[in-house]
Amino acid sequence: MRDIRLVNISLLAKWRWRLLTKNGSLWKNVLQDKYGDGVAALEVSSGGIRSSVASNWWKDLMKLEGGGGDGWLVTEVVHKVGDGMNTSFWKDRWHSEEVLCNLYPRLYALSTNKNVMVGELGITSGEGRDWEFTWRRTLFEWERVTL
Amino acid sequence: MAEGFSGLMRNAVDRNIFKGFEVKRGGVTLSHLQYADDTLCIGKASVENLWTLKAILRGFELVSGLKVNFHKSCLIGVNVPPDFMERACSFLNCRQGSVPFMYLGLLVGDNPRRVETWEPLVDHLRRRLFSWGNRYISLGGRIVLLNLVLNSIPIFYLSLMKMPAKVVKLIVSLQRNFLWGGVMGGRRRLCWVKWSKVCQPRLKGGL
Repeated sequence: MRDIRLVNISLLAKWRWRLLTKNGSLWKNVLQDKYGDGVAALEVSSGGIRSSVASNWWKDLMKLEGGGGDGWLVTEVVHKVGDGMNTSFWKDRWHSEEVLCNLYPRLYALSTNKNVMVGELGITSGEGRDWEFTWRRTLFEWERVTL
Repeated sequence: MAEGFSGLMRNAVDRNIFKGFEVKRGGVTLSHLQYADDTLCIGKASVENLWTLKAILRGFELVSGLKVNFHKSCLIGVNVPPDFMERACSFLNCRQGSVPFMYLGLLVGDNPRRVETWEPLVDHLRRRLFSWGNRYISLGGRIVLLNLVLNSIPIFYLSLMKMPAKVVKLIVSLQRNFLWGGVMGGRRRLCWVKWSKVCQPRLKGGL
């Protein structure tokens, strides 16, 4: 037997998923015009949206993850890197199970470009990919090893 | 056919004789929505728009040979003075609609947080379950019926609207009563297994 509440939540979560994946559809454009470009982000901040103009449907969608705190949608969705221009190197989960800024906090603190995208950072040379990091200072030898 | 109408509308919008609904200044403009045989025209409430709309509909009739059924059509005003609406309706020859209206099988503009909104759904489920035909179904049969019928009826509603906790409770109690008591109902039956256990996957002991 299915739990009707869970069915409801999963079906509504599909809207969030469609917001992430379906680019250029009319209803998404409408939502983006009404609530700003942030609607297509993983973590939608409902604080920026004036509740007086938001429809009940949208408010329900925002409260899907229980309101406040860590949304489960963020922790469940993984980025698949295409050209890498939409994937944040440090802050999206794309390489491993954890975001890189949590995995290597020390390197993250040293990097000068914290919002860099995967596509901007990587340089295709020959067959492999090289990463062109910019650091605040030259790394110590032991830090280089962790790369 | 629908494509033809769509083209007419788009042309009218491009020529600026029909003003659609702008979500934000300079943003996406909506003028019409079509799905199968349902058409929804959206625009600013102005005399010019009404003239254009009438001309487009008439032109479409002449070109396609189809006729618009004005008895099935209605005009709905959002923040429009009532006297304007009245004149507009007599001009277009159609009924005046009010805001919760049926579109693609769902009520548009209805508040999903009110329990009354969900009444038709609950009634539908109740009719399906507690009908005469289901009187002599065994427990196993009832499980199959619940799984197949009950889980598919509400899906369309659930894919758009968040169900209030009260309605969830109501439907779960319907399901539970039917599972353990059958159609006869009346006196309370014992529920041998708690509902959260019933909802588990079958491998984990659910039904």
